[in-house]
Amino acid sequence: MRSFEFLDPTALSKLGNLELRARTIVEGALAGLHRSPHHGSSVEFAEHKEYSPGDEIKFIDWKAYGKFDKYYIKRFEEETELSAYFLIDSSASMGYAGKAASKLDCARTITAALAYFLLKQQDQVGLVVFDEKLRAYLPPRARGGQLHELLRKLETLQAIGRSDLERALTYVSEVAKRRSLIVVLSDLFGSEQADEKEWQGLRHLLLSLRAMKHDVAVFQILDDDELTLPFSGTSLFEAMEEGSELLVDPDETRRAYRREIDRFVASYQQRFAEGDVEYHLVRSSDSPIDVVRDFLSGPLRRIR
Amino acid sequence: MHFLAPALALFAVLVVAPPIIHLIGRQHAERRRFAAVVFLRRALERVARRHRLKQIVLIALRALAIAAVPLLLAKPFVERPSQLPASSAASQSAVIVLDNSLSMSFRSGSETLLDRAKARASELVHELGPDADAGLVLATGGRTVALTADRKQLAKAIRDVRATFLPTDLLSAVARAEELLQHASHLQRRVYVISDLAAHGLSGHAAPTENNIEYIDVTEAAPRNNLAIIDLRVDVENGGGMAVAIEIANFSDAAAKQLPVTLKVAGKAVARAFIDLDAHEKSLKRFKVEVDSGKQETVAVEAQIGADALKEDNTRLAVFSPSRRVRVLLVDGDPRDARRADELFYLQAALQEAARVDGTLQVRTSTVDRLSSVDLAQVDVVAMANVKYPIDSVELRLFVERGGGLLVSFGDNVDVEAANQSFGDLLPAELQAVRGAEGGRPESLALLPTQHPLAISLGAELADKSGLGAVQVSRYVLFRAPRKDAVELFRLSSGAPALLERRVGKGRVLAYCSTLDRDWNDLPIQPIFLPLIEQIVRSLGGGDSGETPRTGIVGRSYEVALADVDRVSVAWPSSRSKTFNLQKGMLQFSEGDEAGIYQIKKVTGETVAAFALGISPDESDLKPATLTSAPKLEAASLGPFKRSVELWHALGAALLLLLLGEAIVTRR
Repeated sequence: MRSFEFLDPTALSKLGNLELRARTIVEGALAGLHRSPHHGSSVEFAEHKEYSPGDEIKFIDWKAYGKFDKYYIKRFEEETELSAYFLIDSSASMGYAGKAASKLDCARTITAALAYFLLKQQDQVGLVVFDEKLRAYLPPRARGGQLHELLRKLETLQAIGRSDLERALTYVSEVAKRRSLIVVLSDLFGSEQADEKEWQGLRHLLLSLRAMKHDVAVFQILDDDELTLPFSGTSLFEAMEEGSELLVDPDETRRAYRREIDRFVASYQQRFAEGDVEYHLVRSSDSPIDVVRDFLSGPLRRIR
Repeated sequence: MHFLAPALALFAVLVVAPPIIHLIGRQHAERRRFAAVVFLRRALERVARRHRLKQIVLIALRALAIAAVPLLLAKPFVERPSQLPASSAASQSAVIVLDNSLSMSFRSGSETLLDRAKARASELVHELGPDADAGLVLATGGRTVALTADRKQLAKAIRDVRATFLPTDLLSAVARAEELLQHASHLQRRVYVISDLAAHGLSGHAAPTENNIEYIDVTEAAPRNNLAIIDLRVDVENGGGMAVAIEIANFSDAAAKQLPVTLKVAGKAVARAFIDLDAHEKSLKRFKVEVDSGKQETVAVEAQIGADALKEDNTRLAVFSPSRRVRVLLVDGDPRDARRADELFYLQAALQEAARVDGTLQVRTSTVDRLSSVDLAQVDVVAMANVKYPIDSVELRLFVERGGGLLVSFGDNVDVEAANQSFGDLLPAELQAVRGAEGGRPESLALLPTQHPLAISLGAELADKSGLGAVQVSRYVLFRAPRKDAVELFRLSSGAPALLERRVGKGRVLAYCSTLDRDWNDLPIQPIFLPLIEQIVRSLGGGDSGETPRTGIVGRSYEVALADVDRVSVAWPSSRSKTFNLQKGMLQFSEGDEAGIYQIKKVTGETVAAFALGISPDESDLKPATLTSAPKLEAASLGPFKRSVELWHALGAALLLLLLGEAIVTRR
């Protein structure tokens, strides 16, 4: 068992240096993967992999078969031309922190780790920070200083205002001229009251992005408190975005609340699936390493 | 609701604590910044109604539970209406006075008041404290059950009580109950009077009492409207007919319209009428009925009115006996031309007036000289007024011994010695001398206590100041010592006998010491003279006096003079009978407890007389007693009584249920 497995989000958050944190996460994630996760049909040989049903026969290394009497598939380093846009929701609700780090922290960490990894792969990485407005934009680049620029912007993020994902996606659709990976990190609050008509607008936007050969992945980041409502005793809840107040006995309301939040999550899960959008529900208490590993081993591999 | 410790109940104000705590809790709720408030709001909308209801229920349960504790400690109780006084459950010696008089036959709904009284009495026996003993006294003076702890015996005695026609005497019954309590084993002693508490049952003076008396009014304050026949008089009409007078009373608060009144003779309806009676009004309805003069037997007369809640007094019976004609011979001992001076003037006038009224007296006159030519067999009574003696008394003696009546009065013609020689052995006492009033002051007459029919029929009038007491006697014949079989009826104020009677053979002889005109006394001009003379003649003639009471009241003594019998049997209306010995020719009957006609029979079975007993008119008047002389009635509560019902047991159970409910609701 590797030592990275014991790095929980709290421990990671204590690593003040975001770059260090990103590197730690990526190394931790990669440690659980094969050494070279990016495979394609590039001309530069990378490694052998034992044959398993479903692999293309044309990549079988017959010489290796002669030596070891086993089938091995030849794998090659791919030449990357990927641009990635990280859309980070910095609305006030992202500032909520239960027992773990805040959702914004979680988004920041995941973004840093993935950006670190992609830049290492010579991919271009850009950043869009939004609430109801676009707060920051870093065009995708692959040069060496991009990581530091991105990390610097991430470190200065503040959770304020409301969220407007549609505006951010519209902006990205306008600036992303080539095939790109668009990664959204948000709690998706603010659009939770969207009716079917509004969702249709967002869906149309996602379909447009897909039509432009973009890949879209959504990390919905929620705190455990928001999923379980663990409080007890009558409390006066103050909404973080609207500022309204509500007197609630959580014990009385918990069951109904969970039904509501589950319905909310399920509806987005279903809608994104219908829109061919990669969807990941991330609890802020989840290990970023696991989150990054899952993403690297799954969606990102398919995209590449 | 009442409390044994009311001060503790004040803490029930803590009932407001849970709502206050709830409101304070709202104000001090913890503030939380939260991102998903919109979902909370939606959730709250879903559960709001249920949540609010639960909150209210919880607050209510907690408030009630908190309030229940001090209320429980304050020992609450309520007073609920009861048919019996609260004291009935105590450990005590109790005597139940149960009213079974006629008025208790009043029907209220489907039951009579007596049924209700018996039910109350049974409940009372059932509810008495476990070590209590009890007795039973009937308000009509019937059977008494001494104090006993045997409830079954007492319950059976109560069940066996039957309705009677007897009048109520609650005061006597209470006195008898208190006698029973004198030897009671408990210090707490009570008399429970279960009655309709009508005023007639509580009249008279009540002796002071040490015992507690509880009155239980079984009428339950319901209206007591009643119509009743309170009297039925049947007289001989002049010419032999029947004159019937029916007195009807309306004891109701409402007028009675077109009340049917039916008269039956010998079981056959002979007349019918309708009368109107205002509330609390009495009315006399008269009928005249022709009677076959050839018939002499007694017939039953019955009056009826329409039905009401007390049916027993809607019928009344009387006995009609056609009077036998009495033939009277007046012997004038001092005839005068001047009619007013004639010895027979007053006597003849009095009897002819009586003969005119009912036609049963036949009066004729004679003188001593013509007496021998008179057939005494055609005469029932001979009255000899101031006759000069000696006379031939042989026929006269035979006349008396065969059943005739002889009235002798004296005057200036009297020769004491000659009279004694002529028929002194017939007289109740021999004559001694003629006397004037002592000191010139006239003497008066007085009635002696006796059971003679004369005294019975005219006793009240004779004893009245305007009766014998008003008579002034200035001269009289002094009798010697009366014979042993003689009865002294009147006496002079000097003590000398004034009117003596003696039975001779089948007849009787009556001797008056003075004149039957105004020569020696003023009796003939006194109001009493006419009825007195008529009664004397009827009595001597053996006929119906016309005034002899043939009716009496149930529960009271009835007396009747009977000739030629010493022992009779009386048959009740219900056919039971009993034999009685007569005292000096008088039947004293005080066991009449049924309304109806009683037959008096000789031991041979021959009916000699009949009389009717009717219900006391007082029993028909059902108006409730006022605060008069009933023992402790002033302080008594006549109900509905109240009984304490302890609530703390139920309250304790309720508290447990509240706590259980609170726990269940909290966990849901």
